[in-house]
Amino acid sequence: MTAAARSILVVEDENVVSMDLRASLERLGYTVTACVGTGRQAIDSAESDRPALVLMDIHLRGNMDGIEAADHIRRKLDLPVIYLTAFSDDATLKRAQITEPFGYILKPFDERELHVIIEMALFRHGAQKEHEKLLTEQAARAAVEKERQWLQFLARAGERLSASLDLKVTLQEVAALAVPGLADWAVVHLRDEEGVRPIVVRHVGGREALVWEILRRYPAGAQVPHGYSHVMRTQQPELLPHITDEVLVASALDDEALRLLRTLGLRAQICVPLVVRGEAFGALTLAISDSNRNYGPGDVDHAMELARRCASAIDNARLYEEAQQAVALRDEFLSVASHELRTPLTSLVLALQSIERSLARLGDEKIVTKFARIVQQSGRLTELVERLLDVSRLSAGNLDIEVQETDLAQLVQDVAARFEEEARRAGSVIQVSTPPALIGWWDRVRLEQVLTNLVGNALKFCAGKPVELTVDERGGRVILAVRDQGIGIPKATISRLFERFGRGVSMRNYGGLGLGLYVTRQLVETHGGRIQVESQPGERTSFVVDLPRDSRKSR
Amino acid sequence: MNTSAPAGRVLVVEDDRAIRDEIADLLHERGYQVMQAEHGQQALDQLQTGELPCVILLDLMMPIMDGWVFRTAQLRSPQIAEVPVVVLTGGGDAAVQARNLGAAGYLRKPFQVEALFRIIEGHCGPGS
Repeated sequence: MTAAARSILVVEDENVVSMDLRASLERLGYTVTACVGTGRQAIDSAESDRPALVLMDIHLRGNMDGIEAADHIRRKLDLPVIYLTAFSDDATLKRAQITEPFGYILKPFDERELHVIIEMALFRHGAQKEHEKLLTEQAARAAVEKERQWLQFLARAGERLSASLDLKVTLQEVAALAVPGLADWAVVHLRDEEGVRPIVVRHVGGREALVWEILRRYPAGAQVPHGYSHVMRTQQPELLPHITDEVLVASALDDEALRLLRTLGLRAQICVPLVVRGEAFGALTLAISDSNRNYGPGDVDHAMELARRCASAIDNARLYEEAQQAVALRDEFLSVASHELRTPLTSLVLALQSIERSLARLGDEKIVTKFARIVQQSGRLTELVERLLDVSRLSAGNLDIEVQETDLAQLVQDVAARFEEEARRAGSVIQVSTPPALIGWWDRVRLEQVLTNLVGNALKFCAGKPVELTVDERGGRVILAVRDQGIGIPKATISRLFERFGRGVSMRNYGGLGLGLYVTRQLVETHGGRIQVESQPGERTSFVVDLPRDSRKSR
Repeated sequence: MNTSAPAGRVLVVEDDRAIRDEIADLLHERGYQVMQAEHGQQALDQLQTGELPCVILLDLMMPIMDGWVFRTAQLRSPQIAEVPVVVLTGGGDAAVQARNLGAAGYLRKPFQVEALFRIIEGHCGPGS
């Protein structure tokens, strides 16, 4: 043992005893740092010399007695104290005991006894310090481990939260991650139209049913000063490191509730609000009941981090759901609108065509021509209504094609014939090139729609020059092409040509609700085909559709 | 075609009056006899009178009794089950509906006069 490890401070106001003690101690091999006679001196000396041990007479002269001085020395300096006493009454001894001395020596002292008690005190003190050090190290390691667990949990929870938009599933996964690693209980409350309700409950031992029951029967009212409703109101986290019975009493709405709460055996709890855009729409509660651990401020910080991520994920999920609902609502509206519009159109079209036939019999050229235009416009209206329905169905993913045996050559001829009049008016002509017949399996109505769209567009921008419409077969596939020598399409527009609704999208999409080419491409692709466009501005444009012979297989 | 019925009689089942009137006018001009019903129940009543048409033009969405319910009732009744039905509908899945109902054809609203004449002629022959 070093000299310092064997240094002793003697506090004794009787000189003779003091000198005697010093002599004995030095004989035993200890170093005496000082011999003082008052409590004040004892404290000062202990502070400056830091002996390994203090021998303290209980009764000292002055205002401070040995017990007071010893108490100060023990608490502030953590030095072991042994009391010297000739005689003391019970009251004094009781006071002395509280200061947790390392022993008593009765005066007059026996040198051997002195030696033993001092050695035992030094040993015990040393052992105590070792133990404390060990505990500190263990605590430090446990803290590091807990930190590691939190970070791992947050990382995993973060992944889950961003991976799924199904809120309930995600929250259950997050709760599963928290239990038992970080808590014995995990509960998530969320606000919906009906109020704040528990969405997820998880327990390490599977006792979820009990908590569901409690939460169902006793939803927390505004008067409960703890837990999820309190935290949502204040938007501040709450840490209850030791859940006392008072807390339970304050949280219970009646005796039965209190009884149930007590059976849970909650020892500590963290509750954090889920806040988005300044609004608290839920709360996350982590609690300890079964296991032997604690919650501290560091845990609250981590829980807040988790709460932030949960809140953000929940917000995303809700926005997504709202967006989906909005789209569904829009599509339903379009579908209904399309349907509603058809009714007056039906009788209108029939009436117009009926009158057209009568007018033809009257033979008045002017009226007949004018009326033809009216009929044509009603045809356009019909087409627009069809496009409305297409949009809603495309969006819902159920634009189904009805594949049947079709002669594409015949179809192309029919379409060309229908556009003859319009071509003439545009100062153009449609040059058709087809084999005598080209049988395949397609949706005739839809392909007619595609051709009508492409030829109609070509005529709008053909600048008086001929439009070429060709179809032929190449290696098991069918190639349909519509070529014009008109104003062409600027490069910048080509890339967005087949998109819908775009402003600044090519004029070729104009006049059809901005959908023509978009729908055309969807229809071609649903057939298992491809459509491509090539254009030289000011010179020409060609649209080429590549289709399989049999579209039944591409579905 | 139902041989016990005189050729040239058409039953139009459609709740919208304007559409019904137009179809009736056109068919009448063409030389067909036209029976009219506003909904499925009226159609069944008409068919009970014993005068069978050569084809039924059947709207699907009607109040009181819609096209589906009418068709089911028609098929359960041997005297009228054989009369062919042509579905009138604005729905995008017209062909599917027609197939499900075992219809002889369909007309998608709004449809052309020529298409109407073609399909009637197919079942009833040319008008007188």
